[in-house]
Amino acid sequence: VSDVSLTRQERGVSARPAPHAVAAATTWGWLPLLSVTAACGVFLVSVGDTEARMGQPWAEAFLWIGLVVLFAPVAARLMWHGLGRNEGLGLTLILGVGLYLTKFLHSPLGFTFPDELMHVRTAEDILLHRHLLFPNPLLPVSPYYPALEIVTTSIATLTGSSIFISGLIVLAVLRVILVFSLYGLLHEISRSPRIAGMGVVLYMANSNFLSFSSIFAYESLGIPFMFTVLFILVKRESMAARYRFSLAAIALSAMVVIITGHHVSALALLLLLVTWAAVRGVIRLFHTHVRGPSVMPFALASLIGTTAYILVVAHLTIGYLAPQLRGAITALMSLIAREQNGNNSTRQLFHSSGGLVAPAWERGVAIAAVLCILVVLPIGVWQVYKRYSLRPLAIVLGLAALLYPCTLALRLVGASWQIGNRSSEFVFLPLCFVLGSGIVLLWLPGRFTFVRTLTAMLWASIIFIGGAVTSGPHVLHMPGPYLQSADERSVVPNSIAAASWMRVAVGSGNVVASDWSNNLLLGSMGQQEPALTSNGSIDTSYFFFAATLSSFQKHYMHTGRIHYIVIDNRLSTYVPLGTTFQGYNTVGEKYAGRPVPKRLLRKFTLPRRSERLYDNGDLYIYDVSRVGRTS
Amino acid sequence: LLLVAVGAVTAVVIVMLGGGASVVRVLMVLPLVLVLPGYAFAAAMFPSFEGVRGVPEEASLTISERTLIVLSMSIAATVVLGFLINLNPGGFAARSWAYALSGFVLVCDGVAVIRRLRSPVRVHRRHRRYVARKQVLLSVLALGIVASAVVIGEVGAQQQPYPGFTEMWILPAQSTLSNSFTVGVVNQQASPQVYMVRIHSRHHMLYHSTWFTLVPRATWTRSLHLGVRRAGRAYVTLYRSQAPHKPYRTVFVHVVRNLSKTARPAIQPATLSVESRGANNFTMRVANRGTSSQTYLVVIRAHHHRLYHSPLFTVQSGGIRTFEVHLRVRHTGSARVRLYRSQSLHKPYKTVFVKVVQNKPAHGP
Repeated sequence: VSDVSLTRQERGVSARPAPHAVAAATTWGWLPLLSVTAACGVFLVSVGDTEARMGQPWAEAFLWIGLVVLFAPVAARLMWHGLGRNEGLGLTLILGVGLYLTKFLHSPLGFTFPDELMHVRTAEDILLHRHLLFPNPLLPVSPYYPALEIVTTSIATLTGSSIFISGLIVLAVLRVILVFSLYGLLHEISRSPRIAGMGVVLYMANSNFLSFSSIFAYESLGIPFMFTVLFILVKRESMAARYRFSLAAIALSAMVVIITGHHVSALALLLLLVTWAAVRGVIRLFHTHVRGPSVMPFALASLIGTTAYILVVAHLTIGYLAPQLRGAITALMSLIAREQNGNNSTRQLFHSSGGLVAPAWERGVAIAAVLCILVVLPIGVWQVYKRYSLRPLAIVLGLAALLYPCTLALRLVGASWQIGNRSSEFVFLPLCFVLGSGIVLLWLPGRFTFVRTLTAMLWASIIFIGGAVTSGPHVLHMPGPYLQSADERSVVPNSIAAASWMRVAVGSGNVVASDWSNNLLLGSMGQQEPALTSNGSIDTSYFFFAATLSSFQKHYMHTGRIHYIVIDNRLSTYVPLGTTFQGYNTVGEKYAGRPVPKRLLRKFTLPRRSERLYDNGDLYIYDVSRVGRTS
Repeated sequence: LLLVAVGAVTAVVIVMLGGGASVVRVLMVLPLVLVLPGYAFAAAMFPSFEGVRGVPEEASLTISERTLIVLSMSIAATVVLGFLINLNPGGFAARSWAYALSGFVLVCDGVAVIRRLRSPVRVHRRHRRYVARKQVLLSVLALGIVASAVVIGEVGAQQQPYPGFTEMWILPAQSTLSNSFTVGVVNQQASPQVYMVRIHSRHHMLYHSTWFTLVPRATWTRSLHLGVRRAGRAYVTLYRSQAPHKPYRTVFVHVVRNLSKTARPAIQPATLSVESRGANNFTMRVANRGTSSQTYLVVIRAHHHRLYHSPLFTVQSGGIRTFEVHLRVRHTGSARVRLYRSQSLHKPYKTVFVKVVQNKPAHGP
């Protein structure tokens, strides 16, 4: 890899290394002191969360101040001179773990995020049935990618601890793997601790890192292992030939985890490896002196493994991913063609589906963050092509970083904003390398001044805070009192009590119809089978939004084998933040962003054979198994 | 490698001993999943995993890279072994996991030992890096701050104020008799609450409890067999002492007719009988035929005058309360003996008429 012509200055050390710089490269440097500032940041976030639970409106300030205290000093140190590899790695690890703790403090008593509840169901099924591949009504594709749940349940089985505790331990280990692998990958490509450190820090600025990358869901396992495979393959180039077989075995083992762990990560890795192999082939056409082990066998292994697994085992994957991708592409094409209609119409930025608007300062920071990225992106791409033109993976990352503006376009369309949002975890891998290279090589190439470092730190902090504020509706940034149809804010004791009662009193596996938030709880903690269109059941919105239960609707319920209906009376008193009932019924659209009329909820009392078995004030559970039998 | 083997065997022994989740068990068994398989696998792959003399730093593996390989390969091994265990009919039992993981560790350990013996490269330990006392203190301080942040977060989440609630439910009882149900009430409020349960059909009261107190998290359950003369709904209503006339929770079930239309309901919660012993002396008997204790009140009136008013008294289920009454009456005629229940003191529950004779001046104090 002699083509990598970074000067010592560009790597962050002066031309003649001073004794203190040499010492810094081998010791922990500022790491202990900055670990204290990072801990203070976590402490502020914790205080903010506690105050937010008490309903204090000013508590959010603690979150943002805490995040800045956690992030900014680490970012500043990573840009300053004399940064050693251990110190850089330690700082990024502290930041990664600190951000993991931030998510943990959001819900420290149990898994509450929607995706977490879906995967808890898979884990519960494994513990209950002691085997894999039991259908999951909340996320049908989840049982086919059980790697995370296998590791979690193995710990739960062996130690006797709960899925929550076991999951937290696994997620913490995965966070360490993510930081080490990403830092190692970027360091191997750039040979610069500063670019590697800045890259990792900028990766943590993606909008999903604060919460989504730390939740108990399969991408929390898939992405770290994707980085691990890439790192091992890059490391393979610089290691002695006798170690290549061992590293190949490690890379293939990690690949198995991705293929059986997360579909999108497996596909992303496949795409990266194929592109990497192709670019390497093109470079070797023009530069025959470029040597090193080929990645083609790994691309082939990934292709064969991923395809075989999807076709033989996880055949639901195609049905799960294809409609979403097709919908996103169609919506995007419509946007381009200005054929805006229905659900595919242009989405209003910073507006949730429930009509909530993000505060002005959040909108400002989010836009500033995008601008900060877009300004440095071309510079970074140019620097990458200039410095790493003979490193195939660097070229691939440089090309992939150009996808970032496309993901911004996806956010503009209602049908594809979710894909645009979720893709940030993948797009930020090339982006963080390109931005890190751009800022370090151009703005901080060795002339260390306070103003330059401060400017760069501000730039990175804006990107980080901009990513954090766009991670979701602003009311979900912190815990707090109950909100209707608001993901983790809808997980409250009486909803949990109803789900737990069903599991104990009527047993598991009953087909149940309810609103989206309660469906998640009933499916995970209640071990019931929520009727969702995503799992092939009937569209329950047809009878939830009906004014009365006609004989047709009763018969419809009967054909859908609906045994229980769980009604949340808060639907008629609170403004929902998101989707209330999943389905295609357009009648429901007129109730978007406003409470459902009480009469729609009370109609389940009327049928003669309907029985209300449970009442806790907010939730009613009806047994409707005998309703519609004679219709 | 010896330590790895010993650790694996120790973890298996702890798993076999069983018991609940404890810190010791977690700390001893956790490496069996997250550290030992990866370490043993990497040691088998790299006989010189601990560092090679003469090999430049860049061509070797750093501590962080080794840590990464150990952790990621541990997870990979667990996943692959998980798929293999799934083929076993016994599935994911603790024993299966313990045997599979420890077996994998011991096999890799053995391979690593053999490869190291054959390896031409000498293994040596790296120089220890000494950390300054100030750095240790700062790290301890950071850990202390993080620990306090976690404690504050946990306590804050546990003490988050939520509105209290009460659960009430009804389920068919495990009985061959029709109309057999189990009713339950759970107090999820922060303070003790006083409740009363009443079950009625459209026309009849089928059951009512006395007022009962539930401390937080306590549960009240009753198995009931309802005698019903007309099929339809039976409503179970919960009342709270704070608002005794306002239904607090309501559930309902469908009941079938299990009594003839002319038959009296099978459940006769109470009977009142009055026996005259002459000279306005009476023996009154209140029998509670219900399934739970009840609180009653007896009032005797004649010609718009109240002749007798008992205190509230409680009769246990199946019990009888007898008491003697001597009445002083201004006019000969009939007196009305009424039994009231504490649930509805304004509404007479039973009424019996008795003959009384004048034994007191018609006028005067």
